[in-house]
Amino acid sequence: MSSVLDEPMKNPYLPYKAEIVEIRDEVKGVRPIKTFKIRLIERERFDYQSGQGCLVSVFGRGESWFTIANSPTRPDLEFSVLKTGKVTTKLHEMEVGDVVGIRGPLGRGFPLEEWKGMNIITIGGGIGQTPLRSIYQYVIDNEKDYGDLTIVYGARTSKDLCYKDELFQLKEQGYNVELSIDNPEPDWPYFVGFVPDNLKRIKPDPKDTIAITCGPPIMIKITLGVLKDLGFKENQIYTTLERRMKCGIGKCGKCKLESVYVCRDGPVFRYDELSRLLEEA
Amino acid sequence: MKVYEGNFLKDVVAKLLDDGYRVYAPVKEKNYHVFKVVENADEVDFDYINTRRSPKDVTFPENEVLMKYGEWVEEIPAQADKTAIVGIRPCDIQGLRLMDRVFLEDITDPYYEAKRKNLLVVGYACNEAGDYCFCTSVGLSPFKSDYADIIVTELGDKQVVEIRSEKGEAVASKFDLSDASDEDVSRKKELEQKVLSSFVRSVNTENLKERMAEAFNSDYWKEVAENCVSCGICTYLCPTCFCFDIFDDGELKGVRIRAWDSCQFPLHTLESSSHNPRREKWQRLRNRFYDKFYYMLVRKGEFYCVGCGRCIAACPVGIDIAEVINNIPSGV
Amino acid sequence: MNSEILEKIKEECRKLPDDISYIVGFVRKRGEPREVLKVLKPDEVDRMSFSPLSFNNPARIVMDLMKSDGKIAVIAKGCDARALKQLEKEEKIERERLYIIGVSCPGVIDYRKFRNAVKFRLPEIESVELVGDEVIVKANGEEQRIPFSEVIFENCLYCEQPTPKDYDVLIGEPREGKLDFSDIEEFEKLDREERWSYWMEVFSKCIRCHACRQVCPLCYCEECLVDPSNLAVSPMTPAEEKAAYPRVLGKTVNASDNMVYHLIRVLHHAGRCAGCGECERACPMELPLLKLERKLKKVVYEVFNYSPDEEIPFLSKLDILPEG
Repeated sequence: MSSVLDEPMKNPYLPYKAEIVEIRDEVKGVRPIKTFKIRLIERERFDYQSGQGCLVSVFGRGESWFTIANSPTRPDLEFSVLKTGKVTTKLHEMEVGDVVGIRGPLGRGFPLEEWKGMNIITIGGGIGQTPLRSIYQYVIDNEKDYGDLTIVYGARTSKDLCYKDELFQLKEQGYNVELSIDNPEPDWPYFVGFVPDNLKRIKPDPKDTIAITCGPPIMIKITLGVLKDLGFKENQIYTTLERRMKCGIGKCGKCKLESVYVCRDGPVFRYDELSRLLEEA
Repeated sequence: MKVYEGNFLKDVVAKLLDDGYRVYAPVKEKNYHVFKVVENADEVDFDYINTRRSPKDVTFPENEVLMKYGEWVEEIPAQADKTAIVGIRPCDIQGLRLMDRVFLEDITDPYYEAKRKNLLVVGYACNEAGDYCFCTSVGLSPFKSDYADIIVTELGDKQVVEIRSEKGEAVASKFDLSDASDEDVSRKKELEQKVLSSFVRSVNTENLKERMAEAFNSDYWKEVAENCVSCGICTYLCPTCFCFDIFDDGELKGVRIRAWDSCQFPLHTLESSSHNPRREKWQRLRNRFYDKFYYMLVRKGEFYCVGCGRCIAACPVGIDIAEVINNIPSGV
Repeated sequence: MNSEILEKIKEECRKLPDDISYIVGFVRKRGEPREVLKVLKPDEVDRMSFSPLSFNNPARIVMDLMKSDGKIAVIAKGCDARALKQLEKEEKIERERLYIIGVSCPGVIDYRKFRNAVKFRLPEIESVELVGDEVIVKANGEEQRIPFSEVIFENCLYCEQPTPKDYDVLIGEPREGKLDFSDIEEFEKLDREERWSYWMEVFSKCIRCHACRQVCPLCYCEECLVDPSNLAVSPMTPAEEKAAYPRVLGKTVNASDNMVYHLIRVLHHAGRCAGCGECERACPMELPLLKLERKLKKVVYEVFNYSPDEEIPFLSKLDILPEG
C-alpha cells in the first residue's frame, strides 16, 4: 500500500538515501572535524541555497543538523562534522560508500540574489566557517555579480583551522583571505589574536558591504560590536543561529526562539530581525 | 437548530461504532475522565466537566512511530481511517484547531494530517464551568464552536444538535431529529446565561502583549518559578502544547518515533556542546507563559491557551497560569 | 486547631535568630484554599499561612537554597523533617545552616478528595480548619463540616512519625505514630497474577511526565538512569562518552516501559523514602505510587532491620553489617 507517507517529497520526515563519496580530515585531535562529501542516490537534483541546512540521518542513532558547507554551484553536498555526540561519533566511524539519510534542504538561506553588486565580507571562527564557505564559493563562482570579497577566519590554533588547503590556495590566487590564530605559534606568518581583533585591524569599509559572521557565541557578540563601531548598520549584518533541532520543519518546538523557529525561519537572520526579540539570541 | 429526544451523544457513539469508526469518548477512570477508544457505547460517561488529559493524543499521540528501520527505512505504519471523537468540550475543540494550525499550516505534517482529515468531531457544550475554567477570558464560548462537525447541548430530557459541517450532516441525517421549538431555543439561551454566570476565574488579557513585553526581564519570573519542579504535567495535559522529540529506538533495527517533549524539562534545549539556552527553571517556566500568551500570538495571531484550567488543577506546587498572567508587574 | 498552630508558627518566626536569611514556609494560594510553599524574608512573617492543606514538602526548596548564603528556617511536618534528615545524611543539606520549626502533624488533607467533598466553589472558600476530627470549611457566611477521615491523605493513616524527630523548636503536642504495613500486607495476599495485572493496569495509565521524580525531595540526580535525554554534559565531556551513554529506557510510553521507569526509580529510594507522598499527590493520573515505596520500605525493614530514621545511610549500614 502506498500513501503520501511513503514519498520523501511529501513526507518531510522521510530522508533521501545518500552515499558518502569522500571524507576529508579537517581537524584532528580530541575534537576532530571531518568534511563529508555526500551524493544522493535515486535523485539527481537537490536545489538549495547557501546557509540552508540538512538533517543527516543515521538510523539507530538519530539525526543531526548540519549547514551545507559548499556552494550550490559545486557538485554534491558537503557537511563538516565536529565529533560531539551520538550521531557525529557514528559519522566519524563511517567510510566512503556508507549510506546515510538526508532531509532537506531546510530553512532559509542567505539572500545572495539581494546582495548582488555588494562587497562581501565573511567573518568566521572555528567550525562556524561552514556556512561562510558556501557563501565565498558562491561569490567566487559568480564573481562578476559581486564587488570585493574578504574572507576573515580564525581558530584557536593553526591545527584547528578548517578548509586550510582551500584557503591557502585562494590566498595564493590573490583573494583577500585574512587568517588568524589565538596564540603565537612558530612559523605562523599571519595575524595572532582573536577574530574580532583581526577585523579591527582590517577595518573593512561598510559602504555597500554585507558582513556575515558565524562562530562561537562570544566571538559573534564581540564581532557585532566591532562592526557597529566600524559603521555597519544592523541591516548589513547577517548571522546563522544554532539551536538543538529535531524536526527541521518548524513543528517540534525544540529550536523555537520566542516566535521564531530557527530551523524554518532561519538559520540565517539579519541582525535587525534578532534585535527585535526579547530574549538574547 | 435540531433537537433529539434522548441521548444523542450516546446513540451517536453506538451508531459510529456500527459504521466501523474508531471512536474516542469520555470514560470514567477511578476519579477522573479521559478520552479513550471505546468498543461499546455503555463504556462512555458524559457526566464530566473536563477530562483529566486533553484529547490532543487523538491526532498527536504521545508516541508515534514515524518509520521502522533496519539498515534503511523498512516500513511506514499505515494510518487509521475513519475516527470520531464524541463529547469533546468547546475549549478542547479550540485546542484541536490550534494544533491544526501548528501541524497543517506552512509545511504539512503528513502523519497529523492523515489522522485529522479522517476525524469527525462531535462537540459537547458545557452546562457549568469548573472551578479552574477560564475559557471566556481567552475569547472562547463554553457552548459554541464553529470548528466542530456537530455540537450537542444537553437540555436534560433532550439534546440540542447543531450541525456545523457536511461531514456532521452526513452523520446527523441518520438520526431522527426534529426542529427545535421556540421553547427549546429559549431553554438553551437560559442555560447559556447560567453557564456564563458560573465562571469563578478569569484572566486579564487587556494590553497583555505590551504588559508582557515590558515585564520580560522582571524578577517576577524568578519568584513565580520558585517552587516549580520542572515536571511535564502542565505541558503534557495542555491541549495546545505541541513540542515533540524524535527518537531512534533500537541500534541496528528499530523504530524512529516522535514522543511528546516538554519545554519544562531541564535538558529540553540542551545542545551537544553543553550550551543550554534555557538552563534555569525560571527561564523555562517563563517560556511557557510567553509561548501561550505572547510568542504564539506573534506567530499565529491568537493565544495558545484555551482556558481549560488543567495545568492549574494538576500543578503539584500550585502554579496557576491565570494568577501568573493577572499579576504580571507593570513599570519594570 | 490550625489557626492556633499558625499563630505559634508566626510567633516562632518573629523571634528567629538574627542570622536567618530565609523562611521556607507556606502562604495561601490565590483563588484556592490550599497553601503553597514560599521562600519568605524574615520580615514577611505576616504572609504566612498553615492548614491541613499545607501538604507540600519543603525539603526540595531548602536543598535549592543551600546554594545561596545564609541560614534558613523551615516549617516542617514529621515527613518533611525526615526528608531533611535524609538530605542531611546525603550531604545535600548542612544542618547547622538550618533552623527547623517542627509541627506535630495530625495528617494532611488529600486535595482531590477535598475538592470532591466540598460544596463551595474553590475561590469562595475563606478558611479550612481542622477541629478535632472534623474539617470545617467556611465560605459565603456558611460552613461545611467534613469528617477528617473522609478527606485525609491515605498515606497519613500509616504515618510512623507525625512529630518531627529533629527540630529546633516544636509546635504542638508530640503525637505517636506506629509502624503499620497493614495495607501492604493486605495487598500481598493477592496472588501473583492478580498483582501483575493490577500493576500492568496501573502502569498503562502513566504518561511519563516525570512529576513523581521531579517533586521527590530525594530524586535530585542530575543524570537519571531512566531518562534517555537527561544527560549532564559539560564542554569537556568526550563525544564517545555521550555516544555511549547507557540507555536503560527510551521514550516509548507503554505499560512495560513505564513499569521499568517506576521500579528502577523506586529501588533508588531503598531506605531513603521520607514517606511524604509528594509523588502520589503529584501524579496527574493518580497512580498508587506509595504502594511501591511502602512495599520497599517494608522489605528494607524486615530484611535489613533498617528504618530511614537511623543516623547512618542505608547503604553504609549494609557495608558494616556483620557476616551472616
